[in-house]
Amino acid sequence: MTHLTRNKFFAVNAVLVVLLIITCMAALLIGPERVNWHGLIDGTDIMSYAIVFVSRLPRIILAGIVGLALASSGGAYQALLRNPLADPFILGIAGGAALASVLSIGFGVPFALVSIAAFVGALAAMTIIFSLAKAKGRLPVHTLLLTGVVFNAFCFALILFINSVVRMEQAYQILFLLIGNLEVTSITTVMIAACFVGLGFALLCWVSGRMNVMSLGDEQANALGVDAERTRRVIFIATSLMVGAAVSVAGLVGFVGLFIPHAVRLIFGSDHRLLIPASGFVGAIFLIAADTAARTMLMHTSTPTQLPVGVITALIGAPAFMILLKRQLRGTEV
Amino acid sequence: MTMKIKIFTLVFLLCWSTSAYAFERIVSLKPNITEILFELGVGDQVVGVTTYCDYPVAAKDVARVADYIKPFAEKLIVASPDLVIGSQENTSKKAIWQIKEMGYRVELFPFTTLDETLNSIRRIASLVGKKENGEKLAAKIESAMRGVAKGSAKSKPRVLVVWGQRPMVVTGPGSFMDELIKVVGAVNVANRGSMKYPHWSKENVIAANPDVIVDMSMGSEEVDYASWKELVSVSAVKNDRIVTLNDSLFRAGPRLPEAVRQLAIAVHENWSPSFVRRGQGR
Repeated sequence: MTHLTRNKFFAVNAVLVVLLIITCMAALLIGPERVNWHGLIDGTDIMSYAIVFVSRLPRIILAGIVGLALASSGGAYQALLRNPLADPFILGIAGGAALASVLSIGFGVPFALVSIAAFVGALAAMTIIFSLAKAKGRLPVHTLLLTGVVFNAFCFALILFINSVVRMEQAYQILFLLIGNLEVTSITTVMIAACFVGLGFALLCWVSGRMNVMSLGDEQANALGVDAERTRRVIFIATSLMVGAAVSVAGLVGFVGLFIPHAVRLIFGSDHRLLIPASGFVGAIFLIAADTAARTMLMHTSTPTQLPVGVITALIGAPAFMILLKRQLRGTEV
Repeated sequence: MTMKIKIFTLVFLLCWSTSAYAFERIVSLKPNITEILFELGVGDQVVGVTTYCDYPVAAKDVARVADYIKPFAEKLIVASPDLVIGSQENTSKKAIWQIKEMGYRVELFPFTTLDETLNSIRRIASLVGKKENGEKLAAKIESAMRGVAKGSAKSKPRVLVVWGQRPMVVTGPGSFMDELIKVVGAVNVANRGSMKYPHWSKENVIAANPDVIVDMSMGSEEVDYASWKELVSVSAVKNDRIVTLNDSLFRAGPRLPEAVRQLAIAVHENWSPSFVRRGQGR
């Protein structure tokens, strides 16, 4: 792999942003119901307007934000924990957010407040895990990982407990939340989530250079002038904001955060200065495409229903990743 | 000779009384079955119901021995039923097998269509020795259906019945509610394919453009109008025709006549909506 040059950085990101815009436009055009494009532009067809701008556009924006958040957080966690199997849900933030959502559903809270509760849950989880994992004022990697995993297990056990005692309709809603869905409640919620995701993403890109050095270990990193401890905190806070916002609005959309960073690594290399933003953009593109498929695929079959987006991400993601991996392995053998 | 006559009379009386022997301890595994049993007049013999059984009021005092899908083994044993009645389509098959293994008598009946429901009511009635009441109940439901169909005349309003939000579960073709929609002389806009309870997105609602939306997602509480408000182009939203009905009325049981009456009033504009809660405006 060649070094990351300024030109490569801008070229790759520019291409990805263009691809993202193209994907958004395509997603606006694709859907199960027919749109009268002339009527839309004239302003005569309110139905077409509603389909494109009330139903499709907010969903596409949400898919983009969530994809960006999950993929870039996944890449950051893989660097932070020095573990290729890390996904954005591994450190317990998602567990806290999901538990808060499930509790709100169980208590019959109106849905607008469920997202807020979930985000508060995510921040609470972040604080709890942070303070539990700290040892002598430092945040060791393995303690962080173990605390996060145990916290997650505890949260999900509570979720299953709640699921057993609520009414059937609520149990169904809980399942829907856990699978991950991009059904938009209000554009306001999406915009607020976008702010948090944007903030987190900016923070993450800012420290992405230091992530390269951190993969060498704490002593090496400190010797090379990178404050590993402080970098870890920044990464943790940035990803908590992003993952908390994403999970509170969309539930647990699986597979995106795990495999997109690996796919990007295979194509563009392991330099985190490019990997983090590129993963974000590719994640956004992937999730928009997956959601478009989820809401369109089955609608004109004999089972005309929407699929949960998590189903598509795994069904497409897994084989696609295997193909990419095989091609890469074949390349190195030659 | 008189001895023989006495023995014969005794045996005859014994057989006659055992043939009219009703089941003394009946357990119902579904709310609609509970309602049917009480309506048939064997409510006193019902010793176990589900946690969802809330009608009639007397049913609330009966021991809870099951949830919606399956019975609680220990509670069932304590209730010691001589007859367990469940639904063919959604009582857990494994649970049924277990109860049968324990030696209890289990009878399952189908309730997926109107015809099946009427048939099941008659069969349950004859099983518990209330054949006449069963005929009366079935006839009452049948005539109510006919009466409503006659009353709802010319215009066929386009209706969407929503059972849940996030995911938005709607009534599809072939479901029980779909049949009731047809009975009241309306058109179900969710008529694609053959899935009984498909999940819809906002786009599907906008394109279907129903005249009336019956939103049962909040049980019988107020509708969450905020979630419908933004679908500005939909006729039901524009004309403020989003209504809610009590979903427990629509159980396949004795309250069906009232259920279809309320449904007819909700979907046909020129009926008086004295008890149907309407939209509070935008």
